[in-house]
Amino acid sequence: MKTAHIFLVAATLWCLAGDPARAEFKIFACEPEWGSLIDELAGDKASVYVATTAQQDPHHIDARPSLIARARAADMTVCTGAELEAGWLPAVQRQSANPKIQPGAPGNFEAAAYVRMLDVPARLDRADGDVHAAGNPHVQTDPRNIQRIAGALASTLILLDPSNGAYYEERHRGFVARWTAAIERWQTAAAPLRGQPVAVQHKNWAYLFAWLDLRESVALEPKPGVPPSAGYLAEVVSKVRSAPPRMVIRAAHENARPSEFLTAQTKIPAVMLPFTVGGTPGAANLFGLFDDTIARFLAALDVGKP
Amino acid sequence: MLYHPLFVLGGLMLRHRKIYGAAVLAVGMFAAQSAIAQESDMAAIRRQVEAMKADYESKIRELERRLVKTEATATQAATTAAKNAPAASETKNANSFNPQVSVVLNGGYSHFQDAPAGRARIPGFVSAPEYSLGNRGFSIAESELQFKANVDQVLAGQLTLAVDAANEVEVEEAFIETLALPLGLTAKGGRFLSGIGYLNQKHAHEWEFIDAPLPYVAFLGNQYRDDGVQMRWLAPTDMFLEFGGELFRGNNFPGANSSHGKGAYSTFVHFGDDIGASSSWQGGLSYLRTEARGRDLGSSNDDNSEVFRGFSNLGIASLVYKWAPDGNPTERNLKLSGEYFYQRETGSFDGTPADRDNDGWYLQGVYQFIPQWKAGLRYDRLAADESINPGLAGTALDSRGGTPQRGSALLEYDTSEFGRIRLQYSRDDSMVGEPNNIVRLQYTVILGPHAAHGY
Repeated sequence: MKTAHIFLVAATLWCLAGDPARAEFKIFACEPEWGSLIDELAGDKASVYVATTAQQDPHHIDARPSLIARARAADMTVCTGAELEAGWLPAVQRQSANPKIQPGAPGNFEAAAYVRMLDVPARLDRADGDVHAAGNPHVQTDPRNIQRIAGALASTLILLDPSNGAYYEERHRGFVARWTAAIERWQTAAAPLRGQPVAVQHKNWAYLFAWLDLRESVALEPKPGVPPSAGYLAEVVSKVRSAPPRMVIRAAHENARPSEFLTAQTKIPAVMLPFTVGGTPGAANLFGLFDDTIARFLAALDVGKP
Repeated sequence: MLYHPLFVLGGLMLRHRKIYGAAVLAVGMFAAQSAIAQESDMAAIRRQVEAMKADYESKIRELERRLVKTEATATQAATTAAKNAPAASETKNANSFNPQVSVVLNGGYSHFQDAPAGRARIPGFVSAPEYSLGNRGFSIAESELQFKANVDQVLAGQLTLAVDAANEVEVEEAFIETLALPLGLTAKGGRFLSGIGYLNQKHAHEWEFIDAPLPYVAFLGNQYRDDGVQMRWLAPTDMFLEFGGELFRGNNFPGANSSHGKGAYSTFVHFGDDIGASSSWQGGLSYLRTEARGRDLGSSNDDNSEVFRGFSNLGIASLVYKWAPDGNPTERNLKLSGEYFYQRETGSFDGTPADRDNDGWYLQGVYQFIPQWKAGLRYDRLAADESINPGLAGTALDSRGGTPQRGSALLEYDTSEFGRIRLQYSRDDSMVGEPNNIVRLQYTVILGPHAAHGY
């Protein structure tokens, strides 16, 4: 009887303490690019749960029960911020009852806070479509932003999990060295893209365009987040015919129809870009994301040669 | 900030461009002056310009390389600065602390046969006094005004006011909730929508259909809310598992006239998970016990008739399933939901013993077939106890041998996340033997920021 009691108490304590063999520091990443960045910086010292996939639109996610359960266990959330997740993350945070990840807590990491925002609207009116007060939230499309965010993320990791501080610092240093070299490589490879006019399906490429000096010639959406009507697409076709862009691009999670319609009408190549880690087979991690993005741009440039 | 690498690079480029520009200008002027210059001279000049250009480009490349390197080392310092900067500008304005305000507007056109004496009644059920089909023709529905904000580091508060078509203001919700209790606990107090069932804790504008399913109408008077306290605990499991308990004043339907002000309580458990990347589900089991100390049927009778005294025990089983290709609901998505209600009422009706077992359920599906467009179907029905005390024959509790039921079809167009127009047709046989064809066209819009929706 007594041994049974001791066993019960011991079992309860073990359950409460958790399994020591597992990585203790748990991170809830809102988007795959941040999941990949945590892998680079934290290695096996943290376990990462990635809430969304490249096939999903981070604006429109259901606050699913599984997300709430994972957020409950998290020591830290790593999200884009700038209202990108405004439609679901606040509901997940509130229901998770986890003080560590509430807005304002050190464990609530918002990547957009560490970069210079583009497309900050001069006026706020929903008649302008899906506008974000803080600016365009798709900051991950410029690798220089990733580097800035990596620095801030490394400091936050060191702050929250000081026992592995030296490890995080070491990995950050290694990542920056490889990333800096990669940026140089990408910039050299992307030189032929400079100044090229490109049509976009949705306005989520501002940072990529600023980095590679591409020119956004036309957007297939009349306003951000508003699906194009047949009439509007016809208007775009005539605009494109008078000043043809080199290609029309869309993200992996976006509907192919509008850009394929434009291709059928004008022979301008349609290019699907990974947009985030996992968007294409080539974009298996952050390095692959930009390797593949630039490779796809260059391939389309070759096809579209007059 | 002036020494930021971007500025340094900008300055250098500007300076180099000037030198380069001046060089080109000088070369051009020289060429123009010596119009008789030899071809070989021209070639030499061209070579010189080319060399300068190449030199310039290599310098730019070298600068870019240096910029990337500088940034790598400057990141740490820059991040601290960046993190502090936005906070400083935001705190300038004292109004930043104002609560988040949002408004929901509803309205439209309804067509149906008005019930006799202007009041609908479901045979076999003592429905809530305010149960009605609403106004015929053009009418606004409830307009909602919601304020919410964090009180401090411990609490958040929310107030929801509803103004109906008759200009009456009602405090729909007014509660405080904890932000930072340990161990996955959350406490709530004030007036709020109970956590029982699935649909109950959603505001009416979040419902897929324009009206509440029949079991909600018959057993909860559309939606159960009251003044009280709630405690929830989220289990530390990978699967979502939440337990909750509530204690209420007990004045609202199906309770009434609580003398001691704590006449109702509930317990519930919600659980759910994903099935692959495309599907997810949530289930729930809930129990609500209320006491009615003289609940009358309301409006039409002022005498002391049609009064129920006793207890209501209500159990609810809920299941919700959502599907979207790859879990991306923007193009197409499907939502199926159903709930089963079982109620045991014990007590007396106008002095006659009235112990009864009633049940009811609904099943509904809404499918978004292209962006902005949804279609839906719903079936809901009730079954009142038929083996009632013979003394109750002919009263409101007599089911008249019928089954109250209704079938509805819905077509929805969303102008955006914040606006929608719905057309709903219902074949309503809830009054048994008096089928009613109900057509409603309704708009619902949200002004201002709107809180993220739950599952």
